[in-house]
Amino acid sequence: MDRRIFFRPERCLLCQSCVLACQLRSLGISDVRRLPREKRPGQRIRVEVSRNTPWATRCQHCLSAPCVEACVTGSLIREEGHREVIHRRETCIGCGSCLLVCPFGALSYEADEEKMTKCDLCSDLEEPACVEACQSGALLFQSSESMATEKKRVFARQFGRAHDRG
Amino acid sequence: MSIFAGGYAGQILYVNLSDRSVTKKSLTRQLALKYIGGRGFSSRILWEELPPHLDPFSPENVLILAAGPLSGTPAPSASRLMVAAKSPMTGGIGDASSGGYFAPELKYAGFDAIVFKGRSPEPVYLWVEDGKAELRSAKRLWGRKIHETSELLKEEIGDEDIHICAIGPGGENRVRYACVVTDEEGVNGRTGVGAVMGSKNLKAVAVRGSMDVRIADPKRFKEGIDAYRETLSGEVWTEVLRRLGTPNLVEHRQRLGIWGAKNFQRATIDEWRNISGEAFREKFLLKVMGCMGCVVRCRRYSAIKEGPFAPIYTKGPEYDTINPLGAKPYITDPAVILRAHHLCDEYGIDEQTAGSSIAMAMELYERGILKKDQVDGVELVFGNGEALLHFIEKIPYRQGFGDLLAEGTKIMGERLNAPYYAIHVKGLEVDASDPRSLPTRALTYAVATRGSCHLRGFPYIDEFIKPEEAQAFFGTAAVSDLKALEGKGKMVAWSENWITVANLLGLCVFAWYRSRSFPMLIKRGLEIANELYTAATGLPMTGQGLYECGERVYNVEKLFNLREGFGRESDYPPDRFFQEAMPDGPGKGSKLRREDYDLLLDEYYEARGWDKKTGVPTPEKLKALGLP
Amino acid sequence: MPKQRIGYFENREDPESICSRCRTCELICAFHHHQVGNPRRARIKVVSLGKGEDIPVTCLNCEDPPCLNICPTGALRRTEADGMVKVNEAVCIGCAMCVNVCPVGAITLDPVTGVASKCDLCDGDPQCVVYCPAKVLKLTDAGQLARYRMRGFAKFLQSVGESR
Repeated sequence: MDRRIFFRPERCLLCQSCVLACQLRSLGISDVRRLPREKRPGQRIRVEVSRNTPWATRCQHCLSAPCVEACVTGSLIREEGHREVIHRRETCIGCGSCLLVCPFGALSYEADEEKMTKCDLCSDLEEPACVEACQSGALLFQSSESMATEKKRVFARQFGRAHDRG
Repeated sequence: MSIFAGGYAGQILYVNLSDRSVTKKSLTRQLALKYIGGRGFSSRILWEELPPHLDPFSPENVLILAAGPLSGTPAPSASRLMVAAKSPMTGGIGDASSGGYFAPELKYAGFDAIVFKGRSPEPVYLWVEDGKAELRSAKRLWGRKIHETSELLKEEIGDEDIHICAIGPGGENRVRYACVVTDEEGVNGRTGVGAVMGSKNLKAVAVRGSMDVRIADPKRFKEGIDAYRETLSGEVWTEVLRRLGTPNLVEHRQRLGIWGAKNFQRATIDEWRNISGEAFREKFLLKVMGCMGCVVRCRRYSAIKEGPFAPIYTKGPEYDTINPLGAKPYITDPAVILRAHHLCDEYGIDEQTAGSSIAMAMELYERGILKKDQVDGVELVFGNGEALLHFIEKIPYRQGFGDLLAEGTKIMGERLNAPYYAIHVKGLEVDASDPRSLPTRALTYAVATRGSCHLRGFPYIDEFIKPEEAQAFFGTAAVSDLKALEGKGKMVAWSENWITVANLLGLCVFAWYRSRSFPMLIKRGLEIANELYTAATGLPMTGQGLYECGERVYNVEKLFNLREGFGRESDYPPDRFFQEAMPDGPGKGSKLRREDYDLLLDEYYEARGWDKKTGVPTPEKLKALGLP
Repeated sequence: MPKQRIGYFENREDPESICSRCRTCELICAFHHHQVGNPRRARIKVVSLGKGEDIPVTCLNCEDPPCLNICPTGALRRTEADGMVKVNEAVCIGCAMCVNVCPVGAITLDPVTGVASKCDLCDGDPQCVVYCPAKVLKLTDAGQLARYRMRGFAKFLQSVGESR
């Protein structure tokens, strides 16, 4: 199933739990008190306000991802059976071509490693850490079809209800 | 990668419930071209896989769910699913079809059919999705009724849009006529396929698919769809079906006086207007509904919003609800009938046999053959709606007298030493109508391979065929004479082979078979249907070729039944129809005459190329069909 | 000219003029666009809410479409000023942002190709309208729909008045 991360801005509290959870996971630590002040990992998800609306910037794992095209070392790939665009850290040279072409600016540069970093959909977990951390349901992990169907359902309910007159 | 350019998914799923193995086998070109699909696949597989004289409840029985090559395509009303097994009611070929959405979804999941063998040690359900299938524990589901089962499955799988075939407590407790219910609505009702499913500890099959059903020649296919739809515009039968559903037949039965009311003691019903199609439409109809891709929309969606049974929201009723749950037990309160129907669907028992069994018991009770203490102290008389509802709730759990009722009329007749009052053929109850005044219908019901069935043949041809057409096609103008017997055996035989074609393709007969013009039966039913078949699959076939496949499938079913010991005597209507005359109505005084029936049956066997004494297909006939 | 969409016009007084859930619209839509039988690829979907409530849902052709606004590559655009938003499949990168923002879930990713998929009114002759057996789908616009509802409500008010 092509599950991916969806964002519902109307539910976002800007609490940054998603950002925190992602950073903890990429450092491999679970205790937030052990998060280093200086050496923060590159953000794989960012939450900001844009035109008065919360906006969660994260890799969309596009089917025909521009970053995959642009990568000069072939470190960004789409593999059969994997739903995410994979970033191979070992071969990455940190040139930033991917960030240039990404419509969302969803990658970050990690200066001390001199490599790029991006969301990997927490492929070893049931559910991405950010989605799990989100308390308000602003972040969802599901297929595009089920997302669309849920919205159709809500709309259909309202449409039908509008006909009822008690 | 499928070898077929379209139509077929190209794969059959084999599930061994004993060792939990799931295998995919490619559909062979041979099987597709000789048996087409649907009932063709199920009958052929049953013939090949089963040894003779097998106990239908043994793990060796095979349960098959089969779609057709047109299932899943936009062909008009290509919604039908066939569920088949060796029948625990008849011991012969058992199959039941339903409409809805399951068969198309099975194709979208990448399969033409599923074959279940063995028995699971624990309750399981099968989850099928996009080319894969796995057995999962149904411990949580076992014991639950149909609606609850569906809700739990949707929750567990996490998808509202899955399609489900399930059994209820009826199937779990091996009520001999337990049925399979698809999507809480369409019922694969007769011959006890649900009981076989229950005997395998298989609670449900859930399916979801997103794979394409390819079409080899889309342009030609679209032309075929449009041509097909064109033949249906202005077709009176489809208009009536849309307005009233199959309950439109209530008025027809009353007008001709061919009810089997009060267990075939009355041919007319005084209060028939209370249970007519109009009555149900006025009182309970919320809207008409259509199966996948249907142009007719004959399904009813009814609601009871007030009164002691409220609230009920249910698909139906059908004529085949009103007949067994209304006419036979002589209940003329439509709310009771609808409530009884809903219960049958929730428990997963066939309403045809449930109603017939209770009606038989009512007659025995009124005649003093059954005493009150034998029937749980219930006043089991005709017209007693409470009694009907009471026993419909006992049958699924085999409680009290419900245990005997759960066996169906044939076994009730044997155990109570009153076989005369068991109105069945081969163990399957006579449905549809009382054929005493219409001998051609009697023949159609009695020779049907799954037991008494009105859908195995199409005996109405003599109502509209023109004399010159009858002469040209059947060799005698007598086929156009309603009163004549000559030629009718031939007509019924032809109609059986012909109507099988719809079952092979996955098409619903209600959008396929009716016309007031005999040439249209061939034009739409074979020629245009073949256009759709060849355009979808890219395979070489003709309308006549489809007809021959129909004949082949019918003969395979006959071979299966013969192997089980069904001789000529199994192709006779019940004794009651020969011994008792119709008591009232326009057909008053009619009864079947043995000499006449023998003539009909002789001609039928001859037309089929079967030995007149035994019914065994001749070597020439078998060779012509490429059998066994 | 008002922007056109497929509207669902049911008449609850007439059992034959309500969506029958036959899903012919889904079948014919997928067939028209992809020449296959596969309702998952249809750009219209019949949503079943239970108790006989079935509502076909498809693109509303918004005046100010969130999908078009958010599309990072310009794959979603109107070719005519008042026409449907259409997908340029060659340009679509399958990022699913349109899916994320559509308020009614009318745009999806095609399960086979992975690119955005939405109602395009079949370039002027919507097939779902042609094939719907209940004749409850019509090419319409927001104004017509509103007037239809107003008429229905007016009839209802009248019946209340008459019953007094």
